[in-house]
Amino acid sequence: MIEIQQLEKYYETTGERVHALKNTNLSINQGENVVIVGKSGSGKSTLLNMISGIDRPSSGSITVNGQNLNDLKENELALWRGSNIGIVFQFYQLLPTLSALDNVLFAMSLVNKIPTKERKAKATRHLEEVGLGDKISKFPNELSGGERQRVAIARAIANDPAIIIADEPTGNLDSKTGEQINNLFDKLNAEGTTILTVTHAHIDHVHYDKVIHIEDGILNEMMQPQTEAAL
Amino acid sequence: MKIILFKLLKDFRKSKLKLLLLVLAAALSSWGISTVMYGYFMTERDFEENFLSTNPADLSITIDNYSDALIDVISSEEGVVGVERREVVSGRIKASEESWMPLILFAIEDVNEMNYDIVDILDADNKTPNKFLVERNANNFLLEDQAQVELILGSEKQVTVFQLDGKVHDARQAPAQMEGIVYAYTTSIEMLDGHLPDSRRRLLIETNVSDDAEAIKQVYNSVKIAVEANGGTLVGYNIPTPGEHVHQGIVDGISFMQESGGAILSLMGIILLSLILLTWIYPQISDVGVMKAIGASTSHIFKSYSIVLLIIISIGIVIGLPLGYQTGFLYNKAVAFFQNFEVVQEVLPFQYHLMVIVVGILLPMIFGITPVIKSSKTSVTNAMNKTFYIPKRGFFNWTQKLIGNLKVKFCLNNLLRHAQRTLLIILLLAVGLGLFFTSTSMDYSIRKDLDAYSKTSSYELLLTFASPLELEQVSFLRSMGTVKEYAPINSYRVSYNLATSDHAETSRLRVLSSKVKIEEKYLVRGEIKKNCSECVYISGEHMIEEFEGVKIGERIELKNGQGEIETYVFSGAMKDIVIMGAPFLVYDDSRVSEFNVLAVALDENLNYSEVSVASNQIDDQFIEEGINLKNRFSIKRRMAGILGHLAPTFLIIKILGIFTIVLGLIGLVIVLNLTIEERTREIGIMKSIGAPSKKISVLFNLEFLLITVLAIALGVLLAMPLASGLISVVAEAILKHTVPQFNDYPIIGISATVVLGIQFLVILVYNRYKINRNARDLLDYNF
Repeated sequence: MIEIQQLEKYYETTGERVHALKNTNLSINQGENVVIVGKSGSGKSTLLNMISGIDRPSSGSITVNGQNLNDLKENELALWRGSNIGIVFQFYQLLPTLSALDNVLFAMSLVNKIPTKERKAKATRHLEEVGLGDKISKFPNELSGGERQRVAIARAIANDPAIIIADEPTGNLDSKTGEQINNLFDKLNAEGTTILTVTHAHIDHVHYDKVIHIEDGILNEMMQPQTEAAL
Repeated sequence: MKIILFKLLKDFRKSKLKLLLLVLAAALSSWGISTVMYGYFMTERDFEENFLSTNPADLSITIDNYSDALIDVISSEEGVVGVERREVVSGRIKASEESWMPLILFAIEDVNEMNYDIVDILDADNKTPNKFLVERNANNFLLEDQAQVELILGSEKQVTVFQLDGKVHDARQAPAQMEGIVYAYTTSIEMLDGHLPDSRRRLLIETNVSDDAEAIKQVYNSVKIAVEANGGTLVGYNIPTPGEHVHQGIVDGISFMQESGGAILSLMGIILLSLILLTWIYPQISDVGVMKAIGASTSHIFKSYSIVLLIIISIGIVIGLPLGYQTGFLYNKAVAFFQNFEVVQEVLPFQYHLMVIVVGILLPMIFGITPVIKSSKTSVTNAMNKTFYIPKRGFFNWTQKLIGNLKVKFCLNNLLRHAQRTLLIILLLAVGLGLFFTSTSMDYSIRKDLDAYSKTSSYELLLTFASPLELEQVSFLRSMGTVKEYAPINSYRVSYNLATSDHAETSRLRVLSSKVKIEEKYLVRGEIKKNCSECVYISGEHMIEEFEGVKIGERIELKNGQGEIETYVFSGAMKDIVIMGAPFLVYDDSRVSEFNVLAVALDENLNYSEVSVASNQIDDQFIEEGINLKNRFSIKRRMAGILGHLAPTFLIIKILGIFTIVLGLIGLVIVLNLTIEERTREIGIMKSIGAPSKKISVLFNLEFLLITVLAIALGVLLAMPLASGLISVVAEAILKHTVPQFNDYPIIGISATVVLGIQFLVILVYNRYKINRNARDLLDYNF
């Protein structure tokens, strides 16, 4: 499903080249629940940005669902992303001038994948699934951090994407809300959605099919949690 | 406080463009304010140095049966300060081999003792009797090295030749090129001996009530009684409007334009300044929160922002003030041209500059301080959590329920997000568009009105003769191919008394042959009866107003030049600027066997220049026949003259409109730039969730389309009353009749399309360079 080969990413800052990802190879299968664990600045968010096509690699290739992202232009990437990937950002990234419901509907209207007539009911259902059925007309500034994150998740699943990419989705949430979010991801994963999460925190390995450690831009380990647990 | 001020100034290093725009807006407002103020100061000074220094007479009278003893009689009347003889005779002056120009010749009693209506004799050698001088603007009509001039004076048939000795500057007369008249002067009255009517003299009178036209009229009434009690007959008088130049109407028009232009310029500058201040302060609100959280007081922050604002306005003044001085000077030069003034070149005294500086600082400070106060007063919580400010819950909720379309809702919410900014930009654009629409509406309405007059008028030429003629004398006209038909008119002076007035008014009556056609559409009351010789009609806006209380069928009495009373039946009132050119009209074939005016219809296929040629040929033919043509009036020429007079006014408003539209567009670009800058992260979000640049651009286009459409609608609404008001001012001052307002819809449509086109183009550029960027760059953008 996701094939990364010899991926390199470096940034030029004040004349200095910073290597964010070094010779990265990764393969994720359809329906897998994968977590990338690493400290702040290790390159995990960069890797997510590469996979979602938000950023471009310096070299190497990323193939998602058979599509080599290097072949897509910026606007084609946006369209592709809308149809194939749901993104949950660490800081929610909701559109502040739209209500919770409209944020979800907006994502649907951009992609045009869901028939117009079905959108409102479906968006409402997604918001109910994340426990916000009574707050659909609230604006982001009227919601708590956890509620905003749940709106962001409802938006990410709005177009029924094959892959959900989540950057520290529970990083700013209390443990109870975090638990709810994780359960939601598990449910989506059980329905066949590939989940790729990034975190810097300790994780419960049994939740995931694959755990990837990243340090200084290098994927150090890649193993099945059961194997890791046995070690 | 110093440290906050230092921080604010340092922040500009990160936003140099905003600083530049702030300074430009401040310069613009200062430019507008100083243009108005300097223009006013300079024109007032020029008016004093030119017009008032001529010591204009309050009253001029023409007396028949004059004797020198009457001077003492008049001088001893209450309210009279001084009396001086100043004769005037109209005629024609030969300007070239082919053409004769209208002439007004003044005769000065004593060139070294001029007390009233003083003219400036440009060469000291000519300040002696028996010199013939022309107004300096006559240069446009006379040859530069011309030594002699040929004149036909009054009703004479023979040509009089004078030696041309030099020039004068008469600040009381309009420039010759504007009037199409040559003004000339003799430095002694004796030079006109034999050319002036016997025993009829003209006197200039100064009163002690110079500022009050009504009081001057009272003085005139007592002078009239005194003159008539001492054997004289007062046959004419003129009371110029006190303190007003002959072209005051045009000057007032230009002043109005200049003052409105300057006011609009400063208003636009101030709006722009407020707008950019908002865009400067808005991103700093979180900083205000941080500063307050670590101990800065509201007063510290307010003072620091105020000082920065003051510095910006002061820099604006340094740039705008010299520009305003130059613009004011240019405006003053234009006014001086219309008034035939000599521009005073000396720099204005210091106190005038000080006044401009004080107003230039105070006005933008008053307006600019609002966002400063608002941001300074922001609470720490609000400042640090600026996400989306919902302006008015009720109104906002209403819009959310009303608007079903998500894209429209998104755009509207974004506009409401910065309601103040949105309002300012709409206002800025609306003022510009409104002004432009006003100028096009004025131009269109007046042209349409004049065109209608020109097309429906039966006679192109009205020829006035110095002495009565018979029809056989003009029979040669039949052989002229360009002449379609002609009809005789007999015109003479009459006076009349209205019940509403305590004094007699003098006017003219024209007796028309039944061949003279008048369009029924010009009739506003009554009906035309050509076979009724006692039916009198009045024409012109002024007369229509004066006769408002007179009923159709009422008898009115007119006193002719021989003192006889003619009684008529008031039968109708008509609009007129050119139709028959006299306030009273009567149809009576029996009284036109001898006539002094001829209405001539030309071939309707002739264009303006062909009419001019045909008119000159007719003029020449009359001279060849030995007939002294006193005056020649051409409708097309009159129309062209009116349009020529109005052209600068239209141009000024149009330039002002275009300038303000450009300012509005600059404002729009600034707001668009800021909007895209502050929403860069949101653009990134949209891209991340699947929006290509094109879709995002469409949203921005829609958002700014709402602004532009609202501005266009507001501009049209603004232009309606403004154009209507200006048209009535201009029509009253120049055309002397009411002009209905029409909108030039194609021009409104084209300009609206251009504004929208520019908006789309700018968004296209932004799409190319800002929106069409990598999603990560957009998401990482720090505003």
